[in-house]
Amino acid sequence: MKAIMNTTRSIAFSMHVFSGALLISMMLIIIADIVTRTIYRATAGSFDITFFGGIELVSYGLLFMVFFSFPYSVSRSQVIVDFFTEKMSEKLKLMLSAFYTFCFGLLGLAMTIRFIIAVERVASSGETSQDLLIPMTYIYGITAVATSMLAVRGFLVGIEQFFESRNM
Amino acid sequence: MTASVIGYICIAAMLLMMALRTPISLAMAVTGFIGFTAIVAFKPAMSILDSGPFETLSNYGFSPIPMFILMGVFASKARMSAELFYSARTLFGGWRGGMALASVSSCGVFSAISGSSLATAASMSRVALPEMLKHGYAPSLATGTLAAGGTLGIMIPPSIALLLYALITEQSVGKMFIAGIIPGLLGLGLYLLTIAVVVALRPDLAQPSNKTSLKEKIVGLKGMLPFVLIFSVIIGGIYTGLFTPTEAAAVGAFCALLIAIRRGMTFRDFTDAVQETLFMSSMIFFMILGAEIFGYFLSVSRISYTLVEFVTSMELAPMAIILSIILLYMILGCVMDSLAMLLLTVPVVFPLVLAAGFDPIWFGVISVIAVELGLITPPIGMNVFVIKSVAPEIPILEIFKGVLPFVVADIIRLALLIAFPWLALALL
Repeated sequence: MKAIMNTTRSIAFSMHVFSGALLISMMLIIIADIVTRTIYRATAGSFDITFFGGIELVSYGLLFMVFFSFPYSVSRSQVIVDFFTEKMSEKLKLMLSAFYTFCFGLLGLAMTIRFIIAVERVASSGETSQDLLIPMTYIYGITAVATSMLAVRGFLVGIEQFFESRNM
Repeated sequence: MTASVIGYICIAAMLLMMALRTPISLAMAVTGFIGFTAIVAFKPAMSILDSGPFETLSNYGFSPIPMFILMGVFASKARMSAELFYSARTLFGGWRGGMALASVSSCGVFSAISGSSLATAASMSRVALPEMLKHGYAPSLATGTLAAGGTLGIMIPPSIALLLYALITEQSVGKMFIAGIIPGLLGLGLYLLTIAVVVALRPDLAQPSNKTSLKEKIVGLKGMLPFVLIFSVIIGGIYTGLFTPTEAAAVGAFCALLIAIRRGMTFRDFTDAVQETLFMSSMIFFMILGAEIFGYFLSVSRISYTLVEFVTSMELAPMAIILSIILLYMILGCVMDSLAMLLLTVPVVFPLVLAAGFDPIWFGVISVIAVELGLITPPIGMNVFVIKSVAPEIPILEIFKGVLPFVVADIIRLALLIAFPWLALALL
């Protein structure tokens, strides 16, 4: 069990690192878009190094950045109202947290199922993205991989927290 | 059972779940999903689990959120906050309460490139709080000043809260940012006035610092240069049409990165900044995801519509509607996170505000200030807890005591903006 936990944590961390790379890439793509556009305008169109599909790259970059960072941050990036439960025992708090993290696993699973169905749907229609004509199967497929990891992490971290609470 | 009744039951269930420590994003997603299933059917409810998150998270309009966070984190890593504080401190020189004035001014300037109240409070308190305490400031004044000063980040553009409001209500992000400038500066001015009044009434709370010469003051302004540069690039770029408000976030983050590199930011600092940004962004996007699912449910439950009908039938004066909404925000703000509150309530109350004939941009400013109050009011007051984490030895009650005059200042600001809406709309 410990080995599985460690392996999934490592995979989730790798996805988190990839998510960070996407964040920086998004920033650089926008800067490149602005710079090339400004040069184009300044030279009245005689020097054109503008590129196509910047908005699409950033949009899908954002999608992957968010979904790839979810598995690693599922238990720590949550906002809770603890005003009414401040005096609750730490054990009970951790048990509740375990249950809710497990629920995130269920949410991840439901999204994965839907994204797999979406992959089948767009594969039959041959749908592509608007600007860069990227097959949507890839985009939905990669998203499904990320949400499946959210499901796995949600379940495993939930179980881990549950056992932790029993040992308290 | 009608759709509206199911809607009210689900909202009650969601609030109960939140009270039981359910993460806000999960509470919204679960009740939204169950409510949608009850009103429509299970299969369509399942289909919103792909279309909803996919469309929202691949929405180009949301890309500034991680960028603005990144910009603020880079600024912190570049230790720009320390330089800013010392610069402001030189400016206020030997005035009694000068360091408190410098702290609030620094918070105002820092928030102009941070976009986040918590980041502003955390960055500035680490620098300014030890200095104020060392120079004999009363802990209540020192901590209250910084907790309140941090809230300036939610209004002075670029602001994540204003951005979110614009995206939820489909308003222009650029106009929202521009509308935040005067109310933000008004807030800063009122906070400075509050400190002056408090110190005049209770001189024992703050000791005067060493006087500084005019030359020192001018040289000291150097510390504000990076902030002025980034802010000018962002607002100037938007104003001149060189780039869109959405792109401005990336430009700001890039400028902050260049300044941080020039100041010797290590690769370790860089990766830490990216990691911190990802955690904060995930927190916001988890809530956006939940709010998206909840939003589908809200539209099929027709709650907003019945609410508008109900309020119209009561023939309430438009001002009574606004005051009720502000009161609701102030109460919710006591127990709930500010961004969560916006995501949860704006879709419900916005049609009501439009029906009452108010300007949506003006209401955005008003609601963000009302939400901001929640950051410093007991018992939650997130900014207060940020300060507490920096100075654990100071009792929480002492911090809330110090914050109280600033709460009054915020209420005055709200009253001024309600009485004179042009304050928010003048620059548009």
